[in-house]
Amino acid sequence: MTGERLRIGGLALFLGGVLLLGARPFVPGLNTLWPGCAIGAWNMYRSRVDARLLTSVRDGDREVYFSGGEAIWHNAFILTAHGDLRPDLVEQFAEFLSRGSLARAAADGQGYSPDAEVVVELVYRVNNQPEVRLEARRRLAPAEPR
Amino acid sequence: MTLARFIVREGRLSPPKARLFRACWGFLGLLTTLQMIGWGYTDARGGGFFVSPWLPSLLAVPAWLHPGIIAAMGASALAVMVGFRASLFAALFGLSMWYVLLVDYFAFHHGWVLMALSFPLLALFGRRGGGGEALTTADCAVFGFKALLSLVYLFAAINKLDADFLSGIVLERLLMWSPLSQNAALMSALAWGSLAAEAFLAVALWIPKLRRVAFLVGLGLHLGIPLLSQAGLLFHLYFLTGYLLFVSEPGGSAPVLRYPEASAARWLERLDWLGQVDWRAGSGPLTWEAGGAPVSGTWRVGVALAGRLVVAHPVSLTVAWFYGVYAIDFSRDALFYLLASGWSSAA
Repeated sequence: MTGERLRIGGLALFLGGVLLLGARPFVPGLNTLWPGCAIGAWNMYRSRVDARLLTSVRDGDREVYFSGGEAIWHNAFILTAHGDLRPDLVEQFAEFLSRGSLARAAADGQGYSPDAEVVVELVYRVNNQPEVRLEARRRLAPAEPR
Repeated sequence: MTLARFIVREGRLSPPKARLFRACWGFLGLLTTLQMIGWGYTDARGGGFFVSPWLPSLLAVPAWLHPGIIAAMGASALAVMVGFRASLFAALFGLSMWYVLLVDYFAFHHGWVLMALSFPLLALFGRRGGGGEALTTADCAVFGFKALLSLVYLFAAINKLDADFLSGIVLERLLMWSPLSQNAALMSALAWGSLAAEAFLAVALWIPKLRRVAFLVGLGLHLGIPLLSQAGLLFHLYFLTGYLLFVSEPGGSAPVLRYPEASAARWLERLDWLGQVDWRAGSGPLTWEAGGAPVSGTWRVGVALAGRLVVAHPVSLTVAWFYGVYAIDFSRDALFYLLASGWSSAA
């Protein structure tokens, strides 16, 4: 009987955890667990999100666009399939790109000055709300010596 | 009925069915891993900026660990699929998926969360404990698996109780390739329909009288979403495969197939993992008995058998078809990605 209780207790614990994850978006205070991330919330396609993510390297008048979105798996913070739209990550994303290889690859061979910048532009609209435009800039970090 | 008896009733699997389900889920784990590689996840993770704030120490993990973990996931899924130390490798796959989610939690996919939650349960499918009428760990794991699928449907439906979603604008976006998306009333009706379907599935899969309808509703939902929105189907294959746990064993009502001992039918019998046919070897001719007049002759019996499969298992046939398609598709993508990304030169 003790073993049976333990097994039912384990099952209850598991299902309680699943319920807790699912209830996060609806219960104020619970969302401190993975804030803003929809893990376990199962909120697929809840909102209509129209978004454009543009990434470029700019140096004075010159600019080269590159596919910075490839650096984010599933474009997680701007996708209709997910409930966790996170435009606040634009600044962090620009910081990440400025140090990564994608932006440097775009700038390679172009003779960019030390003032070259990575620019991330996010234009998005959620449902019928007004369009929002965000931009973040970071100086392109020099390539690390090999 | 006590809670324990209820869990035993709903969670008890015959060993062949448990093996079949484990092989299928292992295969899905393998497809998931191939998808991760094919879509460039090994290289494309957001780096330290998207790491869970809980686990700052994991920022310092060596660079090889991430692709290493994904390779380990592929090997684990394969081991689960073929039944080699399946419990151990199912647990390893689950842990690896949790690692990916925790270290790179913005990189998540809803399907990955389902994998991370389900593989630890799969690891317990082989735990028998007391056996007989007593509640076993395996019963609890199977019950938990089924409840997990229901809860996903439930929360998906709850999340759709939203004025914007029900107005149809989300579906309008997904179906923008079609002129039908301009019909606001139709989009709203589809939105309500998808909510109703998910709420229905959360409950109906557990009710034997509604189960067959539920399978067909689920098949429509899980084929309709990716086909209409032109999105991937893998997430939906998880659910269609999960229906296997809800399939009732036919018991004494299965049609009888009598076959000569030396015929090829004995090989088919070995493939009937779900016991959908009562196979009886003997000295008489090949005969099919399913309530009406017996049918004999190779072609007639073959047609009857195929008909039984189509009628009894429309979901299984659909899933089997897409398993084949995705196995080829994802393997090709993963291979192309590995070749194009220069893993060979990096090595």
